[in-house]
Formats: sequence, structure tokens, C-alpha cells
Amino acid sequence: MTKLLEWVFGVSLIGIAWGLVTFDLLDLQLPPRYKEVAWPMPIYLLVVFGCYSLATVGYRVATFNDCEDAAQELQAQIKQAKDDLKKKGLKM
Amino acid sequence: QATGADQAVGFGLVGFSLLLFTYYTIWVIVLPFVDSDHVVHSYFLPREYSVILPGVAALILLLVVGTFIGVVTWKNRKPRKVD
Repeated sequence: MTKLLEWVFGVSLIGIAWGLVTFDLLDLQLPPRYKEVAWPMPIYLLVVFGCYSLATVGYRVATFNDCEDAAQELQAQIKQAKDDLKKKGLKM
Repeated sequence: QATGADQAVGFGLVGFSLLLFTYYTIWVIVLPFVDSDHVVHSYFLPREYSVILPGVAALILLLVVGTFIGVVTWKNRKPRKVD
């Protein structure tokens, strides 16, 4: 089974479980507090994932060692690329 | 070693996302289990906003990205050549 199929399968299972709880399709008589927690779950997980991504990026920015030579070289290449594109007519 | 501004921005991002995560988690997961007359509820908006606000933020992000792409594409449109 491909990774894509695995992911689709897993996400569908979780999605069905969420749907069953949120829309009370099985008439489970869950206490209202658990339903209150369940229905924002998709958006909550998205926000948590966003926070994790932001924190990871931030942490790696803070702990990445400076490379003076590479920085100079990159600046030169950026200038080169800008001049080249301007010559070819791109307006930034 | 990463220097000054990099560290400030980096750890600032980490701090901000920790704050956001904590506030949002309390809002969505903890509050439903707290009695409705507890004082902590006054620090949080009504529950609907915990879904509406991220939705609006995502929309604004899409608008900004789309506008940027649109502006750069518009600035570089070339007239059709006449054969």
C-alpha cells in the first residue's frame, strides 16, 4: 500500500470518527462537554500544526550558525540575478 | 553561532507560538470542563470565535499571497505580438 493510500485511509478513519461524534450519527448520548471539545478538533489540530511549524522554523533560525563567506557569496548572487532579470525586463 | 537579530527573531517566534498554543489549547480543550461561573471564562471569547478567527486568518493569508502574485504578474504582462 502506498504512503498516499495509508494517509488517506488514516485521515478518513479519523474524519469519520470526528463526524460521528460531532453530528451524533450513532446516537451515542455523549455528555455535551465531550461534544463541545470534539467539534472544533479539525481546526484545532490545524492551528496546533501551524504553531509547531512556526516554533520549529523559529528555533532553527535562532540556532543556525552564521556562515560569513556563504552570506557574501549569496548577496553577490542575488545582485547578479536581479541585474540579469532587470535586463530581461522583469519589474520588481 | 547564530547572532543577535537571528536569535531574537527565532526565539521570539518560538515564544509566540508557545503562547498561541497554550491560549488556544485552554480555549478549545480545557474550558468546556470548567464550571461556567468560573472567573477564567472572562479571559476568553465565546467558543464560536475559536473556529471563526483561524478561518478568517487563513482567508487573509490566502488573500495576501494571491494579491502579491497578482501584482507581480500584472506588472510583468506583455502586449500580444501582432503577426
